[in-house]
Amino acid sequence: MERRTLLRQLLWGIPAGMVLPSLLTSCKEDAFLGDNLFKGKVIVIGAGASGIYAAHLLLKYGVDVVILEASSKTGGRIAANTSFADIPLELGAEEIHGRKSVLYDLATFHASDRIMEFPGSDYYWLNNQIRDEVYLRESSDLSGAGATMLNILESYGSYPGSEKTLEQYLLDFPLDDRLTNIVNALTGNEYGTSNNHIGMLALKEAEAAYSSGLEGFTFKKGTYWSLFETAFADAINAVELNRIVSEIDYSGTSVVVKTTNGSSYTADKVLVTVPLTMLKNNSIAFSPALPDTKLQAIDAIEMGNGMKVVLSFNAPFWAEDTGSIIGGIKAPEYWISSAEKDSAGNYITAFIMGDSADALALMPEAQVVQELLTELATFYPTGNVQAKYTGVYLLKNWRNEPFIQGAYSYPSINSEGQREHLAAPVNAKLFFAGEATNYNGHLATVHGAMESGYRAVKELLES
Amino acid sequence: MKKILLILVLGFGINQLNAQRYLHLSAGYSDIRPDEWNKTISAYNFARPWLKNELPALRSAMTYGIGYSGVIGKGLFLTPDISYSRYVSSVVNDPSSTSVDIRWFRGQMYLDVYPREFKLDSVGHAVRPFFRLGGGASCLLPRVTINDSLTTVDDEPYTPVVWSHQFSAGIGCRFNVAKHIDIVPVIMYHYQLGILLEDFSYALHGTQLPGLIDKQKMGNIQFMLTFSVRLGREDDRSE
Repeated sequence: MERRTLLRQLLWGIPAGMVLPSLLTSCKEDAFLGDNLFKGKVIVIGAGASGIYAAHLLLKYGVDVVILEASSKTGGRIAANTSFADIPLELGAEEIHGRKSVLYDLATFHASDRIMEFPGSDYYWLNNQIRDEVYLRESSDLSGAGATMLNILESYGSYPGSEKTLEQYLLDFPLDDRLTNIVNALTGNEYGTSNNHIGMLALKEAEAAYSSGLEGFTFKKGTYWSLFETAFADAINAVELNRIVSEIDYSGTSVVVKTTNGSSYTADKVLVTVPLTMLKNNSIAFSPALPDTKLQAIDAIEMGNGMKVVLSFNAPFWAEDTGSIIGGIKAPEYWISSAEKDSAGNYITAFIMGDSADALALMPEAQVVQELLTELATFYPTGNVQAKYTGVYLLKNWRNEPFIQGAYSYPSINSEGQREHLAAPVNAKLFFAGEATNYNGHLATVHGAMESGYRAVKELLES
Repeated sequence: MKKILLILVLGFGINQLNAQRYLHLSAGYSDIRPDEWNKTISAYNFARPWLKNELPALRSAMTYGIGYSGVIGKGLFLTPDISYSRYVSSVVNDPSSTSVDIRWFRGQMYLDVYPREFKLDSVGHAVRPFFRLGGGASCLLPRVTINDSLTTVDDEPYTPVVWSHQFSAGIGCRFNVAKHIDIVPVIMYHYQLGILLEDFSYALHGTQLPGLIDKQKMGNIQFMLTFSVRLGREDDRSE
């Protein structure tokens, strides 16, 4: 080859080598979403966290969206009272679980100055005293059972056995009632139920997949839902309130949604984000009927009752660094709602789920309050609890919300693997989101609801 | 077996003392197409529509290398080489920030073939084209940082050390620009057999999403400019 020829080839070849990679990479978008995205009309049923977030994503992709909400307000299980105290008090979701989630990212973007780590330390009701975690982990009074209990809490994800309840599983360990009460507070109650309703295989599935981190955050100013109102105003504008959906007919080319007031809506696809209880009690008639696998999932996954009671005191009787008090019977967990907030008041929230909530729900509200005050007086016998109680309280029983009827779904017995069936689309027309459909370990959380929202939107846009 | 290997190494070493040898430093542009990892990044943007600035795809990086070339036969050189690239995808959306940072070390052994020199005992052309074949191992150090904090997986910092292998092919040309000094542009294509950035999608998202895959086969195109210093004998360059 002549030198001149070679130089000419190099003259073309070298620039081509520099430019070609960029041209090649620009040909492919590496997109999360596939090609030919759906661009029609979608009805979202439910204006909670997953419905609003999903609608926001759909609107971003140019989809025509209407959200039908059965109640008279948006937010679903995110709700706050702003008139009871000098600070907003969350009656539903209160915590942002972990740093690694779309919700935490949303909060740091829109409200970084309004969120804080859950304040204070955890205390435990043990041996008739309020104890700290060092006592629980190390005290010889417990003969090592406290450390055993903490190990159990950390190892659900590697549970090696067959299906049984958490209550039955705990019988394999030398834990007395005091410690099983604490497990009930930190697992059963945390999951929205009680230990005797938790299925170990579903718990293992959830805990092994959970990946958002163990930190907890809450709002020191403003409310949880105000974050959504700020970020997703476009979706909230698409909400029609007081639209109780009674029927979804997806037998034709379009989907027809009917409400109890006689209205009829037509769309290409429907995203169902209603609480699991609404599906379990057949509030919505599907035509044709949902597939058997989905009906089995609806049947297998359970959702328990949940109650929050906020008690007001004129002075604290708890240690200054108290965050939570864990291990009660009436209320498995209490926390200090006014801690590190700009409040002149002293508020304790009793967080009551499952069997404890069912038991208290049978009583008149005044008796519920008295039961809780009595329990707190047991924890703090020298604290003058009754005397410091101001006589006002705030009680929210989520079972009484007609379009929610409970707290959130929990890992129930024989529900392992069922959430994926619950989440599965039907005939490329019906799509499902909501915390109960989260099969990546984030059930029963707001960020889990949001994750199910973008999973469903992806399915819908690509269908 | 050890004796045979020792004899081979010594033989190669003695041969190299008397042969054309080059030490080279290189720098250049490297382009990767990790479609699966970029889907994970695309999903991150999809789920966070409030971000004004999107996390960009992993695409290109500067690459730096150091190596050695020694003749092993007429027109044949063996070229061990190590290189370093750093692929970064980062975005700031005040007050939050996100970064995917992959440090990539590559160890290679190339066979450089100079087709015009098969019949020559020694060469001294000013322009010497060659093609290159090789393979080697890669070590990747992926890190995901959100709001200046390293993310965690199972409550442990996400700091994996990932190993992979690649095959490589390329063309280049050695330009003699001064006594003992050559400038060598090289275009290389590396094919990675499959790099598993385990838990990458978890590390970025905090959850697993359908359709996201952490294992990636990919091509990597590099344009490198090499500064090569001749270490061999004085008298082996002839026209």
